[in-house]
Order: sequence, then C-alpha cells, then structure tokens
Amino acid sequence: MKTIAAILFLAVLALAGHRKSFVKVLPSRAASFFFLTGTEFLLVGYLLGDSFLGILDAATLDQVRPFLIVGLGWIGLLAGIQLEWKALGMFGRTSYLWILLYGCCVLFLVSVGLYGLFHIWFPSDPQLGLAVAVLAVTALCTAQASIALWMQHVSKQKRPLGLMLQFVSSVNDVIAIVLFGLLVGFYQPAQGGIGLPLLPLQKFVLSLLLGALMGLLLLILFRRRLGEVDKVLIVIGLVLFGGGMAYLLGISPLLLHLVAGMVLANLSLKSEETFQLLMCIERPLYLIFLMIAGAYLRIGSPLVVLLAVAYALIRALSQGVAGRVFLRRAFPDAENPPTRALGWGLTSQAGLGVALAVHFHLWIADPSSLPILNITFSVLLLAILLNELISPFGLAYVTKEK
Amino acid sequence: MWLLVYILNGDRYLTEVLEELLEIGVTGASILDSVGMLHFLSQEIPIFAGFRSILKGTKPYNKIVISVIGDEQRLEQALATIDRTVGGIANGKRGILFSLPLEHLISPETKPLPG
Repeated sequence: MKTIAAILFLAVLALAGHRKSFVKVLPSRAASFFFLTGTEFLLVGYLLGDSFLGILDAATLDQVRPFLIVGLGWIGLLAGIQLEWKALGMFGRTSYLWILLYGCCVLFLVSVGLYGLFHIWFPSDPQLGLAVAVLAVTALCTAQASIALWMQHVSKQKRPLGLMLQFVSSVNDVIAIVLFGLLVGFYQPAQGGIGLPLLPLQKFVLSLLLGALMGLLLLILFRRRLGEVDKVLIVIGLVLFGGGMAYLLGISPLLLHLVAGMVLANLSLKSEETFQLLMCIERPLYLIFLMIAGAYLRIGSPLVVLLAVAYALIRALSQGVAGRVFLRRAFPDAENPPTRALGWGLTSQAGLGVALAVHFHLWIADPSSLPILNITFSVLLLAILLNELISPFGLAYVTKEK
Repeated sequence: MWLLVYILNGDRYLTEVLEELLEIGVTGASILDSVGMLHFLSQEIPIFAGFRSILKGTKPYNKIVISVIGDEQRLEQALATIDRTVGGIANGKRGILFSLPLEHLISPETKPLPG
C-alpha cells in the first residue's frame, strides 16, 4: 500500500513540477537557474527519503525498481531515436573527431585527478578503479536544458555558441551511454540477475545485438496502422521487456534501447511520430529520476562533500583545458569561430548524468555493496547539484553576458 | 475551379483522408511536409533529446494536402469527407481546412494558352 501511495505521490509531484520547471525566466542568478532546470527535485527526493520524511524509504525504493528500469529504457530509446545518420551527417566528420578527442581528454584528466584523490582515502580498495571510471564517464554528461535556457537570453549573435555547446553535449552523452554500457558489463546487478558467464566485452556486444533485435521488433510492429494508444502500449511493453531482460542479463538498458532507437530512427518512416510519443513524458520522467536519486542520497560523512567539491572542480578544470585544446577546432565552418573558453560552458551535469547515477545505483552501488561505491554515488549526486550552481558562471564566461 | 487545402497536424489521418478523397472522385492531390510556426519558433528545452533540438525544423511534422477541384459540388463533398474522416476538425487538433477560388490553371489537361 505504501508503495502505491509513494508512486502516486511521485507521479503527482512530477506532473505538477514539470509545468513549473524549464520555463522561460531570465536566469539572472545561479540560484534561480538552479530552480529552472528542475534540479531542486533532487533535494525534494532527499527530503522524501530515509534521511528525513521516510516516504521513499529503502523498502519502497526497492519496490519501484522495475519502474526505474523502464524509465532507463525509455531514456535510452529517446536518446537513440535522435541518431539518424542522414541528419547527423550535416555536421561533418571533423567536428565529431575533435569532440571525441575532447571527450577522451576529459575522461583522462578526470580519471587521473580522481584516482590520485580517491587513493588517499581508499588506497587498497578493489573497487577504486570502478568508482573512478563511473565518475569519469559521467563527467562527460552535460545538462542541455541549462545551455538551452541560458541561450534564450543572450544576444542573437551569440546563439550559435549555444548550438555548438548543445552539439558537443549531445555527442558526449552518446559516448557516455556507450562507455557506461561497457562498464556495466563488468558487474552483475546487485540484486537478481542470472549471472551470464560472459566477458564484459561479450556482454557489450550482446547489448548491441539485443538492441538491434528490439529495434527490428519495434519496426515490424510499427508497420501496422496503429492508433496512438496502441503505440504507447507497444513502446511501454517493449521497454519493459527490454529493461527486464537487461537487468537479468546484467547489461545496460540505456545502451540496449539506444541501439533499438537508432534502428528505428534509420529504418522506420514513423520515427518522428515515435519520437513525439516518447517526448510526451520526458520531463515528468526526468523529475521522477531526480526525486528517486535524491531519495537514494546519503551524506554520511564530510568526506562525501569534500570529494564532491573536488570532483566538480576537477571536472570543470578538465573541461576547460580540453575545450581550449580541442573544441575550437571542432567547428571549422562556423561563421564566428567559437571562443577558446567553450569548455567552461559545459559544466552543468544534470540530465543524462542523473539517469546514469540511478543506473549506477540500481546495477552496482546497492546499499549492500562496498562503502566506496555508495560514496561514489553520493559524490556524483552532490557534484551534479554543485555543477548546476556553478554552470551559469561558466556559460556567462563563454558568452560574455551576465 | 477551387483549390482545396488541408493542413493536417501530424500524419495520423493522412492515408485515410487520401483514400476517402479518392472514393469521391478526387483523384489528384499533392502532399507537402511542413512545420507549424509556433513549433518552429518555440524554444525547446531538451533534457535527453539534444540532437533533435539542434536539428529543429529539419523534421517536418505536419502534412499539407492540396488539390485542384473542378466543381463546387465536389468541393463541398470533399470538405465534408475530410471533416468526417478525421473525426471533426472543430473537435480537436486535427489541423485546418480551407478552399480558395482559382482564377487560372495551366496543366496537361487544360487547353494551351492562346498565342
């Protein structure tokens, strides 16, 4: 009964909240910007969790696990259905190459910085590498909502900068999903799963193959003339099936559905309709993820806060340095070449970062797992909050507008 | 002569509309892709769908059906048929339907212009 009440409560909050967030209000201060991007729902979740009100306690969170898995699949499908080769080809290979190099540079710098830092407190922890890898991969994510909101209020001449930032962020989000899919292959979900005797790389390939099969299945089903309700049911059914399968096999539902979405985007004539359908619940779904992530958050020691601040700083510095080296070259055909400071505009980390955090918690950082993994999860969430607060300064620096 | 224009939101009823038009003898129509003005100008705030917001406008979503109809009776019939097929244009977001009188038409079926 409590689970049903909690789900209803979450749904009502998400539906009411998505009308208030992401609206066009001048982001004059970091605090107001924070509220515009819906990130405050992390704090709402934290209040609802075991730390305060106990509405979303551990038992309830365990019960809503299947909904979260469906949510991850939905997000993966939404991310994949955008990847239509014909449309993506508009940007030119050079851009992708430089953005890829930028991503690799950020990954390397964050990994080195965090490894040194975590090594001080967890010198011989067997999960040290995993903790660092998770934080490094999620460092690639940038909240596109923050960029889009900021760019609404800059002068027209500077709007191309916003498109460049959104493009870099979109490419890096895809890289993050793929790398996270590879990372998940190293672990079996903490609860349940059939423990496939496969190597991580084999699990990765399995994700791609199953994703392609799911995509083809959707393609076949969508060939029939269907009403909107039928399509919603098909998508929910397949995402539920795909998510459950991914959980049992210990592979990433985000990656699996990303591939399924790509198949649909490139082979179906109705991909736009499907995209619009998926978009209907994008915001409420995101707010639910924020609240659930907030409820999972545990700030047990000052070390978590310290590491979160350090992570946010290392990430911002890495983005600034990597952006200075690589991103200027990523847009050779731009009318006005981007400033060297472009990397500083990518500091906001919510959006996919929150989805990856929840994915990490569901698959790897279960409360029963090693302390370093629980700390990693909390560090990641706190850093997302911090990054939302500092990102307006980065965007203001890039666009030279207050 | 009349020009029948139906701007259909999405393409949910496109096939049905064309089939019904064919049934009443409207055998020629062209279908154009389009994007609504508000949709194009709206500032989409993407969360997970960044690529789409960058490519905004490259994905036309509405369909425009245009057809030249010779007599007024058939035009009335076509207007009523479209309205019925989509379940009543006034009842929901099914687009807009209108017709315009045509002054000139040059096509393979018409006589060539003098001179």
